[in-house]
Amino acid sequence: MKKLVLATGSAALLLLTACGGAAAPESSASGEATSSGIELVTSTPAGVGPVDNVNWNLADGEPLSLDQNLSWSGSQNFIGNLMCESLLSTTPEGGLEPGLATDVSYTDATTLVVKLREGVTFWDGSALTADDVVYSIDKARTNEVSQFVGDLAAVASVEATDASTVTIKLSEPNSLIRGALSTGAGAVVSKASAEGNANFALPGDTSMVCTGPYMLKEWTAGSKIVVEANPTWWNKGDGKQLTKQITFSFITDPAAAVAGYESGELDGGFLIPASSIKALQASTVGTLGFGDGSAFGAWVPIVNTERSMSNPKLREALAKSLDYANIVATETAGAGTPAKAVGVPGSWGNEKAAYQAAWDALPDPVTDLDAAKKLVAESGVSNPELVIAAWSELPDSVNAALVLQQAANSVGFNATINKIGFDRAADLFSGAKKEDIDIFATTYLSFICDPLYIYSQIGLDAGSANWGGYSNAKVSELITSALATTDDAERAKITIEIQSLLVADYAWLPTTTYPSPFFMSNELSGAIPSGPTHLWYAWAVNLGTAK
Amino acid sequence: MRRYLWRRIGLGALTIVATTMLVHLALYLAPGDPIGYLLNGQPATPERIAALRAQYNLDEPFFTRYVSWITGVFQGDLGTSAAFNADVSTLIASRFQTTMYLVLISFVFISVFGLTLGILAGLHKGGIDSFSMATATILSSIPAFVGSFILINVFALQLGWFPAIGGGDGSLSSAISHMTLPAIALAFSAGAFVARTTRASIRVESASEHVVTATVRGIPRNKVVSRHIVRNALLPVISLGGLLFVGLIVSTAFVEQAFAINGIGGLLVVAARQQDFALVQAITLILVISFVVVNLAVDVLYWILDPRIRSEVA
Repeated sequence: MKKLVLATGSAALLLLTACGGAAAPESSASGEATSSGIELVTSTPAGVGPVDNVNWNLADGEPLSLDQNLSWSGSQNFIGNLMCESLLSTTPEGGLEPGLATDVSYTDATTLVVKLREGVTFWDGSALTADDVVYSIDKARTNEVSQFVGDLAAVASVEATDASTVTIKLSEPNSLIRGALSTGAGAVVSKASAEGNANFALPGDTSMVCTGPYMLKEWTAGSKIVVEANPTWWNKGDGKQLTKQITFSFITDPAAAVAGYESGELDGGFLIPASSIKALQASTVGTLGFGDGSAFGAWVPIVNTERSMSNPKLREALAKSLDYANIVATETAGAGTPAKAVGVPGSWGNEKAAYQAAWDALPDPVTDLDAAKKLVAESGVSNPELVIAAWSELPDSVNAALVLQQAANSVGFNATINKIGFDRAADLFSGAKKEDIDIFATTYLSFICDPLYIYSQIGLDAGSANWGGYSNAKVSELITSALATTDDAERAKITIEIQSLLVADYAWLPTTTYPSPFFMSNELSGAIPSGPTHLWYAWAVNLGTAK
Repeated sequence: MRRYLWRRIGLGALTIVATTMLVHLALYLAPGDPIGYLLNGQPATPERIAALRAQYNLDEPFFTRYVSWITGVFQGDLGTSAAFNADVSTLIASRFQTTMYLVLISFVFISVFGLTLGILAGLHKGGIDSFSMATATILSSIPAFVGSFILINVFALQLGWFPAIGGGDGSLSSAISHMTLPAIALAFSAGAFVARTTRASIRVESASEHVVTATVRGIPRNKVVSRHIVRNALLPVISLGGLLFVGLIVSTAFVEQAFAINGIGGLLVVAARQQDFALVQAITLILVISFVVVNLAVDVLYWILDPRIRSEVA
C-alpha cells in the first residue's frame, strides 16, 4: 500500500514515501477513514493569462451526442456544459446560484416560477425566450431516452406565463426540482436549432445553438470536437474565457493518453483511468489531482427475495467482512475514503454543518471478521448462499467480485460468482425481482448536491435506483415528507433521519468515495474538477495560463 | 490480356460478396447483445432499450439485414454506426486517408529495409549474411505494441524528434512527421519477413542453371546480379508484398491504439467489439476491395515482369 503525501502550497502532488508490504495499515483496525494524504480539490486557482488553444482529453470516449439529455457518458456533459447553460448553476462547492434564470422559487408545494435573465442571446444572435426554456425542459422530461426522465418525473406541465417567466407545475411536491434545473435537465437549447432537426447534436453536426461561454466550432466524428469562446456571451468579463479554443480528443488507450500528456500534446484531461494514475503522479510537466465529489462505490444487496440478503443481520455481516482500506487503495488509488453512507460529503450542497454533525455520528465502516462471523451464526442460516454478480466484460468488476467472495467466505457465507453480460443491464438496474443474484457492485453519483436525491432514489419503493427492492414504510414516509419540504434546514433534518435508518438497515453497502482524477499541465490552471459540478458547470470558464 | 483481366475481376467480385456475407453471418451469430455496449453497462429503462433496438434495426432477421445493407451499399449508403451514432461513410472517409498514409509510409520502410537486408544477405555469404539475418530476427521478434512503446519513449518523449500521439492534420508533411514512428513500429516484423523471403529467393536464383550459364559465359557479375538474379528473385517477393500490404491495414490496430491515431484498424477493433454491424461491414468491404485491387495489381505486374505468364494466357 502506497502512501501519497501532498505538498500543499505548491499544488503539486509529490510521492514522498512509498512503503511496500501487504500489511493492512493501522486505519482498518481503528476504522479511521484513510491513511493517504491526498488532498481533494473542488477547484483549481483561476487562470491568469490567455491561451489560444487547449487540448483536453476525455478518456471515456467520444460522445454519441452533445445533447446533455441523452446519455450517461461523462464526455458529452463535459463538453455540453461549456455550451448549453442551465437555468441555475451548481457552484464548485455544491451550492446553487442564478444561471439563465435570475430566480427559481417554489410559490407553493407544487408550483415553481422561473424568472429568466433579461438580455441573454443565443450565439446565433437570437434572444433567449420562455419558449426555448419550455421546449428544453419538455425535451429533457419527455424524450424516452433522456437521462433526466426520472429526475423530472414530478413535473406535470411547463408553461410560458410571459416572455420571461416560466411556470412549472408538479403532480406532487418535490423539493429536488430546483436542484434538477441546475443539471443538464435544466440546460437550455435554442428551440429553433433543435426542433425537427434530426441531426441535432449528433456526431459531425454543428447546428446546435445555445447561450454558453463556448460555441461548437467543429466536430470531426471519430476524431475531435472543437469549441471556441463565444464573443457575445452574456456573462463575459475579466478572467473568463481566457482559453480561446478547446480541442477535445477521446483517447481511451491509457498508455497513449499518458504519452500525450507527457509530450505536451495533451494539456489535460478528465476521467484518468486508475492504471495511469501512478505514471501521471510522477509527471514533471503537469499535476494529477483528485476532484472531490458525490461519487461513491457500493454493493447493492437484493433484498426482496427469500434469499440471504433479505436478512439484515447477514447484510451487516457482509458489511463487516469488507476490507475497506484495500478497496480504497485498489479502486481509487488511495484517494477515496471509506463511505459511512451513500450521501457522501461531496453530495452536500446546503446545511453542511448539520450533515457533517450527522456524518460524524454515524458508525465508521470497520472490518471486523469476528463480529461478522457472530452475525452469520446468529442469523440462523448455516452457511448462507451469496451469489455475487460480475460483468463478464469488465475485468475490474470480476476482480471486485472475487475480493468480496473471499471476504464473504471467510466469515461463513457460501459465496459464488455469477458472470453476467451487459444484456442483463435492464433487469439489474430496475426493481425487477432477481432470483439468480444476491448482490452486485455499482459506482454511482448524485447529480444534485442534496443527499435527499440519492436517498429518495434508493429508499422509496419505486425509487429510480432501488434496484434491490428495498422497502421500509417509515423511510418512505420520511422521504415523502422531505420531498414536500422546500426549506433547506427542515429538509436536512428529515434527510438525516432517513440516512440513519438506511444505514442501520444496510439498504446498500457503501464502500468508498470516488474522487475524480484529473490531469492538468503546469502551464495551465482554472479547471473545475469536482463532481457532479464539472458535469453541469462550465468547468473551463476560468481556464488560462497558470502564470 | 483482356480475358485474363476480366476473369480476375469476376473472381474479385465473387470474393467480395462471399466475404461480406460471411462476416455478416459471423456478427449475427456472435454471442452477446450489441444493446449492452450501447448502454455501456449503465442503468437504463426498458423504454430506452426498446427505443435503441428499433433505432439500430436489431430485431430484423439475418437475410433482411444483409439485403438491406447491400442495397444501401449500391446506393452509396453504408448505414449508421451504432457505436458512434454517426454516418459510416463520414466516419470512414477521414480515417481511411490516415490509415493509407500509415500503411504507405510503413510499406516504404518495409521495402527499403527488407529488400536491402535480403539482397545483401542473399548475395554475400558469411558475416554480412549472419549480421543481416540476426538483425531481421531481432526486429521481427519485437511485437508492434512493445516497439511502439520504446519508439514513443525514446524518439518522442526523450529526444522530442517526433510527435508522441495523433495522426496529424491531414496534410502530407504533418502526416509524415506523425506517421514515421508508428510506421516503423508497424514495419518491424513485416520487414524482417520480406528480408528472409528475398534472401531465400536470391539464393535459389543464384544457384539456378541460367545464372550459372550466364556466369560461365563471362557476363559481368553486376549484370548477372541485376538482370538474372534480382529480377527473377523479386517475383515471389512482389506477391508477398501484395499480401503484406493488405495485412498491414488490419494490423494497424495495435499501432493506432498505441499512438492514438484515428484510423481504420483501431476502428475495426472497436466496431467488432461493440458488434457494430454497419461499421464492421463497411470496413470489411474496404479490406476486401483493397485485397482484390492489390492482387489485381500484382497479377498485372507479373504479366509485365514474367513473359511465361503472357505466353501461358495467350
